[in-house]
Amino acid sequence: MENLNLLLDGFANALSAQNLMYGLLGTFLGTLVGVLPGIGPALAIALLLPVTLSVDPTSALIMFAAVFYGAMYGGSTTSILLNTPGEAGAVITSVEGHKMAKKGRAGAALTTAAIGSFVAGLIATIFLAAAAPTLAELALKVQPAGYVALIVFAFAAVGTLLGSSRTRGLVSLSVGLIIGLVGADQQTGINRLSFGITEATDGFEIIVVIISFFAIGEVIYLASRFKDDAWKVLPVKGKVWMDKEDFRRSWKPWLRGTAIGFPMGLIPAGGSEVPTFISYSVERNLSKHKEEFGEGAIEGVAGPEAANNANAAGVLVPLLALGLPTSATAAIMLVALRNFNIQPGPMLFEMNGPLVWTLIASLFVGNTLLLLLNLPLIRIWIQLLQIPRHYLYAGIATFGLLGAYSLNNSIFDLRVALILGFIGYLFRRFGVPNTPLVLGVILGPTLEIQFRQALQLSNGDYSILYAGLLPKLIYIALLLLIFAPNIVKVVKKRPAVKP
Amino acid sequence: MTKVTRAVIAEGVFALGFLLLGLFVLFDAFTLEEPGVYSVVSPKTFEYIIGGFATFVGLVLISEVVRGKYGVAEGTERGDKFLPPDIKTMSIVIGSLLLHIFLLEPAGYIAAAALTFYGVTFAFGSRKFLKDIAISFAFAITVYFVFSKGLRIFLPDGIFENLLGLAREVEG
Repeated sequence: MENLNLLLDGFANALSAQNLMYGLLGTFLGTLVGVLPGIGPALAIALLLPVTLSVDPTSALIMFAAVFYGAMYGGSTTSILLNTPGEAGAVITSVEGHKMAKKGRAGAALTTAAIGSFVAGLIATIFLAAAAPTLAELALKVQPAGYVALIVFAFAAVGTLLGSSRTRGLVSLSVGLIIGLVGADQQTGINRLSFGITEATDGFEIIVVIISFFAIGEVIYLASRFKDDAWKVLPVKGKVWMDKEDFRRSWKPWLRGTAIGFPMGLIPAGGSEVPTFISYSVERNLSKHKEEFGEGAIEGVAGPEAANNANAAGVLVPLLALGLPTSATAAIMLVALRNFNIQPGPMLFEMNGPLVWTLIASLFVGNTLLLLLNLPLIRIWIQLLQIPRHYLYAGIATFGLLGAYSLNNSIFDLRVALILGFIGYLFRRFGVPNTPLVLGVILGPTLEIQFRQALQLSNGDYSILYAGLLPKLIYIALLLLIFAPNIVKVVKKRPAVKP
Repeated sequence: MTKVTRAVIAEGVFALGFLLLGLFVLFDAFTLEEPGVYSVVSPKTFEYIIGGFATFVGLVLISEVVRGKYGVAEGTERGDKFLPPDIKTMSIVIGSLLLHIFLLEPAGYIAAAALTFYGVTFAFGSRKFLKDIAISFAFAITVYFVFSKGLRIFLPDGIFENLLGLAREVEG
């Protein structure tokens, strides 16, 4: 009950005229950037972060929540009309939605994605509001050794579940951990891996790392494949709305997608790729129109889109309650919250109560604004896809450099961005996923702090790392994860995709 | 027996490079000066763990590459053919990015951003000189206005900022 009152206060904050304006602006900018091909939600948020930093924390949070939902939705528009998923969670949407668009049903695909995302976002945010404070209370009892176990588990899950190769997921994680090492050690100030460069002793800015890997790396990679591909934006013919039959076929997948996506966001299971695939295969199995799957079945868009959005909200629960981001988007959110002097974790609801409840209320508001804004504006967003490729890539590159520079006004950050951007190119070229790297950069230093605290408590006795019930349970789960690859294979079984 | 093509060599170089990175981290940990005071865990410990882990993953990666397990380049997951990288386009893009780094502080944001924008546009095959230059400057000036004037985020002033009378000093 008390939490409900706090949430209502949060709404009162979020719904002031000024904050609504920022919400609308955030939705607009988020969709604008998210819709651009090649820019997934993670990059869109990273690029727009500087914009949110210049306003007061409450307004910035509203804007940020709106950007978050806008970028997610913008991404699905691009997937459907252009078949270029900006992130792993949108792959299914791009497969099934693009097929629908080819059949001239782009309008229905976009609408079921929009409403499905709204429904999933709404339900998932309600669960988020209920679950996060409870989990935070439980988490107060977690000892440093428990945190060490949780982070190790998150690393293993994200490193091995994403992408096509386990080894390459771990390569990505390692590089992230190494980047996280650069600079002065937090406890002793001893410089690691900084080659006597003064600027490097502060370590690398996480936002710079993310922009390098997602923007600069992407542009260099696209340049390397320049002659390779041509775009064909599919037109949205006829009416944009869904008909009755579409609704009848969509509402159950929306709810099922939410039910699959949200809980899987709670456990560090490697982002939204797995839940969207599960949702897809569930819908295919339950459908009376099995033959349509792979050829543009509306359930195959409705379910995964809802799962993707619900998953994104679910990921916020461990982020807010434990301070543990488990997707690239959540990792950027963590950085953003730290910039507002909000430290996610068990103490969050006590230390920053009003702001956090405002954030949660903002998620509701942002989600609603998105639906109101996007259904009428859909044709404008489609126009954006017509921007010639060369201008788009030039814009991504230039804007990425701006983001890297403006954080600290530092040329050194730009040099770092170019070098890491080139490594980002190599990652794409050699099939190494990006997300484990982002988590390694962000959680590596946290892991070291918890590791140290654990060993300080035990005076250097390493057995504390697996003493107690929680670490034991987590390590057992970890062993299952590693030694039951067949289970994972079933989970990850992809739908047949005809090129 | 797999054919040793350039792509296979590239795989090998990538894997080897990663292994060397892991070994380098171990070396850095080994040569780290031991701090006088720390409680229980030395800063070396964690660096050893990470370096060791990366080295181990590097060895696994090399063994995979030797057995013919290569990476799937992004965008080719659905069976599209992988083509050798287009070195020319890549070089122009990277050159344009470098230009930004060198020009930003001496020449100001607008000049640096417009040239980078134009360079990337050119790299991706556009040859409409006047239109592209115009769009490059329009983009740079818009960004400058929104960030420097609107959001009050610092961007270096230079040639064009002075020319247009936008520079900070003028603003007073």
